[in-house]
Amino acid sequence: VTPRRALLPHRWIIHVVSAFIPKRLRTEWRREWDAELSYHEAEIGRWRRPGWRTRLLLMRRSLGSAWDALWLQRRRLDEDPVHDIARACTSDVALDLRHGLRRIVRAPGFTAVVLLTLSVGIGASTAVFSVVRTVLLKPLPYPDADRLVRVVETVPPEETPRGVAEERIVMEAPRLIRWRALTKTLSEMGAYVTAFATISTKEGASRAVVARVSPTLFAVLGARMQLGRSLVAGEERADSRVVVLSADAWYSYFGRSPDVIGRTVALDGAPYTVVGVAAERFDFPSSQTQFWIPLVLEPTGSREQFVSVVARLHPEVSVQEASAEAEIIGHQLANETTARDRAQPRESRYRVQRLQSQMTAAIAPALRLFMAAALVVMLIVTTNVLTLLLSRGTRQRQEAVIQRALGASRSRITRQVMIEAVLLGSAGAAIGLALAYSSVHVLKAMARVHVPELFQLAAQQQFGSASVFPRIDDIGIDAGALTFAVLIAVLASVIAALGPALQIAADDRRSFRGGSLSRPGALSERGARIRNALVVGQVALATTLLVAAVLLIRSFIQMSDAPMGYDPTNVLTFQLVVPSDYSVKRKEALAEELETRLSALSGVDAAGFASLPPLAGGAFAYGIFQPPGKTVPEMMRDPGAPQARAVSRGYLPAMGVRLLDGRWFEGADDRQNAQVLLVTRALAHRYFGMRSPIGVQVHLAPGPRPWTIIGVVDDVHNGMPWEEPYAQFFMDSRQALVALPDMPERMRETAALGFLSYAVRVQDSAGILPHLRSMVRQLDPAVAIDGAMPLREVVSAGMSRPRFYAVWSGLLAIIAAVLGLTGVYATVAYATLRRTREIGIRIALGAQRSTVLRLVLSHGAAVAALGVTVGLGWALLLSRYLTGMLFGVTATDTTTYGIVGSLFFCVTVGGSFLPALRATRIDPVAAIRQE
Amino acid sequence: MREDYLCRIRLMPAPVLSHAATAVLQAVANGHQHGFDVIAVTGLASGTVYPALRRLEEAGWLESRWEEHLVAQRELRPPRKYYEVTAPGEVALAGALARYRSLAGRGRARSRPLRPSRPEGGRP
Repeated sequence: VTPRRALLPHRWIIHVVSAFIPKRLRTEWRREWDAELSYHEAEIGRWRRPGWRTRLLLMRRSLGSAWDALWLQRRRLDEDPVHDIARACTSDVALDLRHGLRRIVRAPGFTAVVLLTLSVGIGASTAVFSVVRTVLLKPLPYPDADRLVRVVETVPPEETPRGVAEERIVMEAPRLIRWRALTKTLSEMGAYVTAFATISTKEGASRAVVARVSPTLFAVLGARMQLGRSLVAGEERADSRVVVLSADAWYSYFGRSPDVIGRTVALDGAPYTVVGVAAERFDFPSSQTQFWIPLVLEPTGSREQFVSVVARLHPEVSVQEASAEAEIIGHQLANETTARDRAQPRESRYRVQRLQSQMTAAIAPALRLFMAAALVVMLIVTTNVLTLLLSRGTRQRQEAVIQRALGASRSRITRQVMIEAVLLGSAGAAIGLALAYSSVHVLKAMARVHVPELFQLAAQQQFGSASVFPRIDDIGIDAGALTFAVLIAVLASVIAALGPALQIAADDRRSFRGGSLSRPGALSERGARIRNALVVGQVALATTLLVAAVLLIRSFIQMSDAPMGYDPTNVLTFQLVVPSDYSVKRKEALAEELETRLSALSGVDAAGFASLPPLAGGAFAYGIFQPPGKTVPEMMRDPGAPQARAVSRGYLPAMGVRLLDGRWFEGADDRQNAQVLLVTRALAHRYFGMRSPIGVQVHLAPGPRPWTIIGVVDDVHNGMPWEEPYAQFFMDSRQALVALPDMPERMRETAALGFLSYAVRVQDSAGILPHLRSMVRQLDPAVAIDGAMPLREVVSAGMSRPRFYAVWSGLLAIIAAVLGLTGVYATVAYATLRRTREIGIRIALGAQRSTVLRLVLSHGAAVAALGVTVGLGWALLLSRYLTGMLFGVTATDTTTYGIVGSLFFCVTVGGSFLPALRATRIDPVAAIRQE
Repeated sequence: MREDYLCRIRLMPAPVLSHAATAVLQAVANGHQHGFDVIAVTGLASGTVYPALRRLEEAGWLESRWEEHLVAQRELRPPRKYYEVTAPGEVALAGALARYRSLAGRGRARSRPLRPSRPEGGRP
């Protein structure tokens, strides 16, 4: 007789492998391997002490058994194939499968609950995983994408306009030129600037997104062309008028004509020769980019030209090494080029960051949080299914005891339980995948932002993409997501099946020790404790998620209610695109004429235009704002120096900006009369403190004539509502044209008229659109309108990120809460069921219904109280991860914690109310008789 | 007699003795009758030796038997399975050895040379 040994790893391997040996040969096969192993063990034991080395050797030997098993597979075919199929159908596994299926079908209610739970968990986590995988894990669609980097400058708060530290990916052109010469770790540095250009076609003018790029950018990104060539090194000159088309532009402007190379496109009136068409999916820097033209880097800093930079690491250089070099070069250049306005260099200001991590830096923490939340939901699902399986287990356990008594092996019974759970798991995975598939669509739709590129520039600078996360089109249920779903389904079902399996094993041991066979359920006090612990965990996890979700939702509400400085409801916004060969005078006349005609339309309260719309960020320069008592160098050093926009008379009223003091621009404020300015509250506060700025004369250096402040308006947000507003001033567009006499005409026009972004205050913005179009056509058929949409939508698009956070965290939290609630219900119901007899006796002995009610409810309350408390604790511990995503609410907001905690406690206690009520209706006679 | 067999073997399309199988067969012929002993002697992996043993047995060149129960019991271990070379097996071995030796002679054998076998009945 073989002495029983501990299951050492090598024996365990044989044990597992033997399952794959054809059944006919299995016993003998195992005997042979076991004998050899034990002989070897004994032999080794005789010579030296068995250490890890010998164990490893034995393990390696036993691993060979897998090959042996593989080789023996062909013995399966030795028999008659027909009989073989018949045997396969009647084999143990097939039997167990059929048995499992029958059990599943027999309990449709139970099955439905389990499947629903599983599929919701699998669906949610797979959907979130598919996003995380595409955005954070999949390399960017460029060759050797992990060597693409950006030089990131961390600007300390005292040097930024809003007094908040910023990460900048732009640098001045002269600095880039020097950097290129100095660097040894970056093989190529490409620069780009996004701009807009007016294209004149036969149908009239239209606006296109143009990227001015240094030719090296194509090399850096490894861009492929589908036609022609990309830009080449020599073309970095002001007079080289060549253009690379995007696949989209090729389609919309040339109808995919194959002989497009050599033809010309007029961008801002200048003819550019087409030299190439980019590959279908090349969309750098944004998906709306249609043309790439050469960027001319000006080596001297006559005018501040900021460019964004993408570089490629040398093959043998690590990011750390490149960062160290960037720090040195950055400081060296800061000292030699811009010593005039920079403070002392600070520690680690420059670094090199992978392009992908830079692009996802803003969204990555949130995505990780969502992934964690989804996995928490999955954890709750698993414990829920485990509890469900356990609570159904009583009958199964009795069945198992009988099977065991009839000679079934323990492994066979365990396998049966596992097979049933995996069956449920795979069905859940299938439904979950369908759920994930549809929710990914919803997710993408929610994360996509449908606003013109002009409004997206600020978001792109900040987040690397205008939508909630970059590369949104690549997101989908792919092989990776599929694998993930199957993996978590199998994992969840196996873990869930461990519950009943272990229980049965425990029964088994007990019954062989002579325990009670008739009522195995009554014995497991420890099982009850485990179930309670599981439910406490569920409630705790759900509470944590709920707190996070409520914080994010409150933050979103705060943000939506935050004052923007203007009233976006009932405002239609659009840009007027005028052919670039029109003179400034003609453009101005057109713009003014349109404003007059619009204002005269019925239903229109006010209309006007500005050089730049709100939410587009940025500003044009009209000189250096110089209030009395400040010198020009002082103001140049001031990082919070005001931004400015040129507006027409009707614009600010049309936007619903409030006038706090003074007067609006009037018809008399034209180019002949005294120059006047409106300032915002932030500006007034910054430079005039408590004094009223009305009537104060300021200078816009180097302009000679003074400007008089005639009014103070509310702070207008030019970015997201969670950002502090800049100090700003507004000038009349007519005066802006003549404000800077030294500037070239084209530049003055850009500053004064800019994008001709109109705002029309009108009740029915959709109804006015046809009128608007015909009016513009009447005015001048060559002029077009671009990006017409309600301002409300632009604002709402700007808040898509916090809305996304709020909705998705809310969804996950609700799922978690419902699952936690059902967990409490199931546990209490099961516990009550088990105590039926006891309760029956209590009632028979005269217990009041209220006592019984209290008895059961107190169980639920204890579980809920403990769970909620633990959950709040976890939420508090994890709150710091949320801080960056919140606005107007602190991550440790006591009100939220209190309300969520008490409400969820009440709800979970409510979950145990139904079983409690049922317990009071127990018939004592029936209960005592029940055995 | 031996020549005849050799002729027949050479004409037989399958199975052809691989280098590893030859080594295994030779090890068994030299008295290393158990799977792990063969592994120890030939230095081949267990995943190679066992399939080779099965294949040789299938071809009728090896025979397997279980150890006497009493022998095993005396040593407090389960009975082992041991393999013996059959008469056709010996012929096949001789043929295969001749083939590999001639290959080695012509310098075309790329595989590891066979290990020198231990004397009869030798135990590690």
